[in-house]
Amino acid sequence: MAEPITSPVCGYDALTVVSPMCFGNEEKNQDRARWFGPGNTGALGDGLTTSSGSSDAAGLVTDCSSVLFKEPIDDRLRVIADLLMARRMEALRSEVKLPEPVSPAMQEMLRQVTKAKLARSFQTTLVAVCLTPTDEMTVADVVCCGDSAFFAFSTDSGLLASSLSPDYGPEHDDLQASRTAGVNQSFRRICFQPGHELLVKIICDGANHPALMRKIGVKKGCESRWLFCRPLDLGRSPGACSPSTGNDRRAISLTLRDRLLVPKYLTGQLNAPPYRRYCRVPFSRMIRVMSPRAGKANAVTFDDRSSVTAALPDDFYTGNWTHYRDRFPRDAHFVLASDGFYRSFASPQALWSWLLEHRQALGRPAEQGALLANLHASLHTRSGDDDISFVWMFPRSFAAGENVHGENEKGAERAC
Amino acid sequence: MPHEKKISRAEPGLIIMQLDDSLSMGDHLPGTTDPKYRWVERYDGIILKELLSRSTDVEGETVVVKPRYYVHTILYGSHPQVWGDQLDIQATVEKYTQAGNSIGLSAALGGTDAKAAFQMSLDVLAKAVASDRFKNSFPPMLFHLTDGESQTDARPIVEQIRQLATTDGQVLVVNAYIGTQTSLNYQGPEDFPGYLAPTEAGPREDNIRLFEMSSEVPESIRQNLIADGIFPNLRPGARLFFDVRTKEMLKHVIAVVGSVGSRVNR
Repeated sequence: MAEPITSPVCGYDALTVVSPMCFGNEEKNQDRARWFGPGNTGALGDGLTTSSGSSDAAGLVTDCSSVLFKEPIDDRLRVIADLLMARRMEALRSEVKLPEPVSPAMQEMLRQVTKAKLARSFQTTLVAVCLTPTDEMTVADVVCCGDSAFFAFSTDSGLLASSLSPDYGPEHDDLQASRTAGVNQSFRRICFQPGHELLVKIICDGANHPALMRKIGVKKGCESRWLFCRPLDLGRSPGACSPSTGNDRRAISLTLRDRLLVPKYLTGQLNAPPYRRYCRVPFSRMIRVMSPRAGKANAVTFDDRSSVTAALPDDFYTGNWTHYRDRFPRDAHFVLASDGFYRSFASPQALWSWLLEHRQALGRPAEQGALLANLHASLHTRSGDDDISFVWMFPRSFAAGENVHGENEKGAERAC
Repeated sequence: MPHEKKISRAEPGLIIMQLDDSLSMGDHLPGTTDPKYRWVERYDGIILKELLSRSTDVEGETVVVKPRYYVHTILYGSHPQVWGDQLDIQATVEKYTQAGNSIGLSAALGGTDAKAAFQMSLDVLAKAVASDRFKNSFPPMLFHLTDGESQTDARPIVEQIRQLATTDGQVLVVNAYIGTQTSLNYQGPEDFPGYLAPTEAGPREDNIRLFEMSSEVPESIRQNLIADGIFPNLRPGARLFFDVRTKEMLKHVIAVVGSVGSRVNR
């Protein structure tokens, strides 16, 4: 991992907001969020309501985020999961007071229920990111367990990536097609996944072909940031997958007939040409595949109506968590969001527009409170109010001259 | 979007259990040596315990039961009778445990007049959806379980029930039919796809009638049923009509009751 640049222009700052539920007569306040500036690390935990001690669990995982990204990450996360389990074991041993008056049979039922509940205590989601800005890009290490979300945005083009994106993995029918394509190499499937490099041929520089760039969906003014490329091969990186075995959910499935839009910063060709005709690019979800299949890749929706989510510590031990690394433009913004926050909006774009529109007001406590009160009211009329929390990480160059700094007191203020 | 509200103390869920207690419920459930009503009580107890769990919080060292669910239980045969009148979940479980883990089923209510039972449910639901307690909640679920063809046609009344609504959508009607046969080929809950068309529920006329009386599964409930492993292959748009061929299927069908809303605020 490249060393971070210490220039204040290239570093990150953050706005952290935690707003407990305020409608309905349930007590919540189970979200916790934290920004650790020296490590460019943000974390957010959403304690499960059905799990006692979950607010403490959310606090523990976010407090530990400052040391989570020291390699190896899975060992660090294991320690966090073990700490949660230890708290759970303590809770299981504690004496509890049952409500009164209840019959002996009911008391026995409640004891069984309570024991089962304590056996699932201290559960929380976790989403955390460690940002490493370099000269040309920002590398983001992301850890996710559960339905709290990670988003990357650009002020120019909106959503860049999200942990809520649907899987990119090769479709079964595509796999079948690749097997039956036989020796037709143009249909050979390349499974491009984190940790790999892709050998590409550069067809043209977007700076020289702005009309083509706009035709294929690049926003006006951003044409020079892209290279139009053709994939050739994965090269000889160790661990490269064959077309029939690629199963990383973040993998990008390519054929040699695809065309790619590759951000220049991935190729080391951020500046103007002359450039090489061939280069190797590291894996990044910022690479856009120009094919009909790619349409679904950006279809992030907030319409998952299930109430079930993965959570620490249990889902650490079952492997139901992810850690991945991606590379983003150096002026990218990153948002960690509880489901209470992102479900206040119809889409990621609406969420991003709201943040940009209210970026100054969010830095002022009274106005922030009013904005959050509106979100709570909106949630309450739809699916029911919830805790709302987010961490918005932005380049210091964005904050220069604008008052977006601010951090409300965790759990202490209610928006309404 | 309808059917999105979470269950909470402020907006609790209402479940109406309308259970056949006719003579034939005393017959053994196929593949077992116990009468059907015993299995219904057993599995009902499991779901009541689950609802109690979702309503129980441990706050420090104190266990608190919050009224997040209300249950209204109607037993019927040749006539309907109320076993539990919109009791909150603690009172429901208290009554159940004090009765020796029973909801009063005994296969002693004679024939099968479903129309009268649905009329009673309609009266309860019409008041409930207009009440302060439930008007903004996830819509109530009417869970009807029978093992035989009704001697009366309840379709017009059920149609009225399905038109009732809270601010979050229309009342949901579930029909479970013990011991019937349909055209659908499946092994058990693990591959049960749900019924999309009357032809799949047929050819028996009483199956088709119950199918048509059943609500379409809302997406929120379908996702809960899949995520909980109750019916992991349930198709979108399936009706909340279930044929019960085994005790395993009975257990999973009764568990549908627990899929209302998003349970407690997650």
